[in-house]
Amino acid sequence: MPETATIQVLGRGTNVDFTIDDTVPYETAARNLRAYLSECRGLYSKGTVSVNVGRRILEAEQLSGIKRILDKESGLTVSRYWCAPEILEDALIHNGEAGTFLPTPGDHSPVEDLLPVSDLPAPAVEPQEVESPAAAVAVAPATAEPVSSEPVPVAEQPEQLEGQQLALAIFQPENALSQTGPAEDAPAENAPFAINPENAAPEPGEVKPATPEEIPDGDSTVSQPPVSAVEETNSEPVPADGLAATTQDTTEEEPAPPESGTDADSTPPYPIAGDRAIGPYRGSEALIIKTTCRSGEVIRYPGDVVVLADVNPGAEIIAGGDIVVLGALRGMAHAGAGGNLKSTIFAMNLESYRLQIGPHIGEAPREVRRAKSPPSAAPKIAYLRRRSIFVAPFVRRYEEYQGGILYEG
Amino acid sequence: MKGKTIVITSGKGGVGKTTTTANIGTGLAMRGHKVVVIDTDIGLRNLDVVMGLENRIVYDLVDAIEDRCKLHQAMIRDKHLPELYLIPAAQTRDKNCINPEQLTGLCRKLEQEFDYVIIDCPAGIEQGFKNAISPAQEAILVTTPEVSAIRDADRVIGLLEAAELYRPRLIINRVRPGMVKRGDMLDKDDIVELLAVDVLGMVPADDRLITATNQGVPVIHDKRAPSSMAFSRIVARIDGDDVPMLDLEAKTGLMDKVRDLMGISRSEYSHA
Repeated sequence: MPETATIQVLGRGTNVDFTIDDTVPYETAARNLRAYLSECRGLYSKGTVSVNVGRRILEAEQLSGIKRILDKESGLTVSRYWCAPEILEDALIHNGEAGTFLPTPGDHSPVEDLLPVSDLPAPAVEPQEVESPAAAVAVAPATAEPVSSEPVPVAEQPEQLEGQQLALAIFQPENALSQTGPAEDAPAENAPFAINPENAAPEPGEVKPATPEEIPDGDSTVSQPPVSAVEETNSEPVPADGLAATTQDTTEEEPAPPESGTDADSTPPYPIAGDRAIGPYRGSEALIIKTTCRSGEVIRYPGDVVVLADVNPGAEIIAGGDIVVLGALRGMAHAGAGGNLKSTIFAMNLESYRLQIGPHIGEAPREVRRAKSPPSAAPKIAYLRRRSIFVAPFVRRYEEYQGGILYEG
Repeated sequence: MKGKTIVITSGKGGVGKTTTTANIGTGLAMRGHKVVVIDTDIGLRNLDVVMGLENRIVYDLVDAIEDRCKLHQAMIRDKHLPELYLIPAAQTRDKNCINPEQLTGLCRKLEQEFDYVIIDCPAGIEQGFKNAISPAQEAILVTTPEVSAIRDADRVIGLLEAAELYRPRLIINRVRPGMVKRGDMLDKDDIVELLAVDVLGMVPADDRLITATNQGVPVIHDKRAPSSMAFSRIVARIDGDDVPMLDLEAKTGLMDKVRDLMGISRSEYSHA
């Protein structure tokens, strides 16, 4: 419904994006815009709209014409104009002209307009979110360069921004974040338009979740163009690097949640919610822990875990792969938590009396537990055979372990 | 002049935090330092009782923090030592009524005036613990040679490290040298191997300590008590003296051997 021949509409929370097809003449676009707005009269009452003019360069009077139409036919306030990346330079020329449409700091009308609405749950714009957001995508200027050059808002006078921020902040505080700085969230705002020509007609289902997602987050990373998202993940510190800093937060009260942006590509077999913030699992990488794991500390990692210290009683290590402890293992160790039954637990001093590999739990036999002196200091390896855990001395090579003591399940 | 704030904590209750705080505070004051001890166990205050100052409380820590009194009004001067002050906890409030920032601000003020600010931490790892450790530059961990206390101490070391209080020093309290000798009690090396921290000292189990605590006089005043000697050495180490660590040893007189065989052990001690 919001889609007409030349105008595409994408609702984003309190903000609405209009994209004007750049292949039609301005007059047609203006007529269609007016027709569309009169058709959906009542749909918009209050809110802001950003207008994407595509690749065309509009004259000042044409821009003001659009603004007049919007002002007359809807209650929307134009917050900014966008354009296609190729005409960046040209767009910059229009800075001054476009700026005149934005509320100036002295002009409090948008704030006053928005104030009453802040009490209501934004009735005008919410329908927009539900309406096919995919539509907006299809229109993107066909020849737009994907990411390389970020389109900048045509108007970015800081004083005017402040007025805008205020308006948005009052309107819906949680959304203010994503909309405060046009210069910053330029890529996020424009992402659907700049990127999507490549995947010509995305499923509505694909696009739909993106919209509600980015609204509560107020987070530009979600809607960032795929290319830059990949860069972001690659440039992340490897887990070993992150450790020095992350070992400090051992409190269970404040576990470091995984980054929403990072686990999207890794999809670990189970959620990582360890006390130590750990990076995404990338197949072969092991998590290396260099400080003693103390009571109450839980380390969950979908890959292998190497501890270059002790694991004290009360600490837990839950690894999708193997566990290697180059100190004393006295806490709970659970290898192969993802279901890999070939996982093993190795420790220079294996003093835990309870081990788990995959779903199988083994408890040390009485003679081992009763032994007054701690188990001999020789390195040991725990492995699974016929659904029972055996603990064998580790001799020379990984392939050579065998036999050992049965830890009964 | 910039003082030092030290928190005395344990995780587990009943291991002797408050007694240790009273004795360390008193010991430092006996060495000529200006010391203030703060009881942060709001709702379950004890330190004033152990120090025998219960009857002098007019204002408390919460009053001082909430500006109902001047900071100096909440400080109670010790009976014996003019340079030792106590800030008691409130008994009618709970631990959530102050926050770490407020206590930190209070301690920063006190540090300007005192050489040592000693904080008695409540048991547990909840709000009271967080309050107590936040102003501290150093932490002293009290534990007894029992598996449960050591397990809790281990957890607390982790939490202290998370709060950037690295390498807390350990006081092992209520050591019974005779039991250690027989192998019935964890000894210092076992504990250190597990906790991987430096030991500040060991305090023998001592009947005189219990008597002194009940009388409201810190045992460190009783020069002949074995625990007093242990505390004096601990205080010297806190103060920066290099005092060699001695193992606690059971008395080995004939009567002791007889008692030992009969299973009636009197207080067994020497000093560490």
